Amino acid sequence: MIKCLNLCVDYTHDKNKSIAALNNLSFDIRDSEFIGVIGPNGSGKSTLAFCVAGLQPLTSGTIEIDGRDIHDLIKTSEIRDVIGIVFQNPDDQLLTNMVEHEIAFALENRSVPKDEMVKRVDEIMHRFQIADLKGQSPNQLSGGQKQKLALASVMIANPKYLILDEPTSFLDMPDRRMILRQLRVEFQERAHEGFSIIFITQFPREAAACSRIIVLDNGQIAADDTPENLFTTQQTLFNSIGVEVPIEYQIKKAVPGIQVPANIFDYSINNPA
Amino acid sequence: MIIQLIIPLSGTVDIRNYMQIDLKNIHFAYPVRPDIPVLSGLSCTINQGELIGVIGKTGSGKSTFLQLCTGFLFPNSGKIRIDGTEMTKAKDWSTVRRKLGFVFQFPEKQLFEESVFADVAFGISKYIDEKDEIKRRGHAALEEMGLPPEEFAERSPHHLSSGEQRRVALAGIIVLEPEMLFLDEPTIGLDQKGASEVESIITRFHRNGKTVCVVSHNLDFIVRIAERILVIAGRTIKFDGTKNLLFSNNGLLQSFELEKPEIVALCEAIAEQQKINIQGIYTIGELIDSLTRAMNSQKTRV
Repeated sequence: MIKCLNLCVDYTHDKNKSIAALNNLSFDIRDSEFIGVIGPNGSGKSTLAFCVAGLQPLTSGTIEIDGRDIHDLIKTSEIRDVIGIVFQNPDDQLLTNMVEHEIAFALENRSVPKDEMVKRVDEIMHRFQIADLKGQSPNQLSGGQKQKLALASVMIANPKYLILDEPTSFLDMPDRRMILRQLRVEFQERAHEGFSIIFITQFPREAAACSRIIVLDNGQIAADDTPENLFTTQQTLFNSIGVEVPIEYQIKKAVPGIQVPANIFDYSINNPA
Repeated sequence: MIIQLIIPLSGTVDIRNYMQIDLKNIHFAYPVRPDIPVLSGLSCTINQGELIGVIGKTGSGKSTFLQLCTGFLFPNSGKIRIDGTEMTKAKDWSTVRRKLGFVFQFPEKQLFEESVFADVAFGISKYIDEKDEIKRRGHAALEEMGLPPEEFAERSPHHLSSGEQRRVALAGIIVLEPEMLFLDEPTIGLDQKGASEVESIITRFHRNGKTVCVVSHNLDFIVRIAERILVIAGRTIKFDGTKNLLFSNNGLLQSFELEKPEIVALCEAIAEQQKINIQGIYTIGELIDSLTRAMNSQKTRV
């Protein structure tokens, strides 16, 4: 479990003026949870991701990961074993010149024996259905393939927690679905080990795939509930902070009595796409 | 010179500013991969006053198409004419350059001045000397973008929200008063608020009789604003027609590997379930109106 308590992060911009990116924010990430985080641009989503991944110092507040203070984990570098992060732009994290080297990178750094490394790289390339990309340079891949590769390179280290910072915002619909599908596979495969996903997205529609959604606004939690409850009861909140409610929920509310067929846009974890 | 008169849906066309881009049998490959053409045998005409949506899969050549239309790239073969004049060299383009506004993907990454006003004025100060005139037009452009100059002109562009930054970048193009505006993924990365602000800027520009050609993979955005759709697939334009024609034809969409816009998919699903006819609806507001009417008439019948 990750316990975030009273997180504050201030960015100093102009002289004498600082902006609170996170403002006294507290919440827990339980084991085996698939959490979506949504909110308008500038609401603190990425800052929260970086804090929990140990990449952004806190102005104040504490983060406890499985009972240990995040600073201890950072000092010993253990945090990199516990938490994996995928950035918005895969170009920010792909750094080798061959797909299989990219995936092996995390294992090389952990001195995994060659035989085991080759086996695990093969395994994950099959799980991610990217075996055919072997030998290619990450630079030649499409945006969707790059993001899938970035995800595979993080998942090979078996992190207990996976943080994704808007991994789909540069992708088109088919690629967004592909990434979502892969996340479902990963979650189902490893949820019994306590594996949790914190999925930050600018598309509320995608967050509907999660079991729980946290809505951020101005560095604070504006709502924390199941997708169904949020999109049904919190439309006024969504409108006021400028986040789009998935259109079928808008219709259901605006036209009482209308039957909207279920599952037309279903990304949910249990729907085998 | 042949001038084809197009009546815009609204606004007026100033005939003196009339502009038409005509692409004939264009072939293009990037120098790094000369053996793999990105576009091949592509032809189309862009007329004054149109709002064209360009769609297609990632990597289909949409951005390349925009850059060919505006002279940022030169075709390996084929002809590009603007108002009948053939564009062959960079020099030909320089005479029409000011009339063609181009907004790159993530244009805010090109903001570099210390103040919003300085950034907006950067391009236009290459054409105009009078400081007062630059100021007048710069402020007018900021106003137009919903960024009141008294509040924004002196702020650093780097400390604005991403939606505001994008609008500053747009102001830097609009201030040049282009006749045609080309935009590459103008809503990418923006939240709903930012995206709808950009959307209304584009529709406003078009309503003044100007031409807009926009590339996007956000199909719901495209169907809301554009009437004419170009689908780029298999290295050329595979479809050139109205959105009604394209999005009511499942076979066509599948052959281009395009998904339906959410609004279209929702309309179809509801129409089937409620046994009502709802077609040609592209905004949530229209759908709500249409369904409310349908529900009321059902009640009356009962």
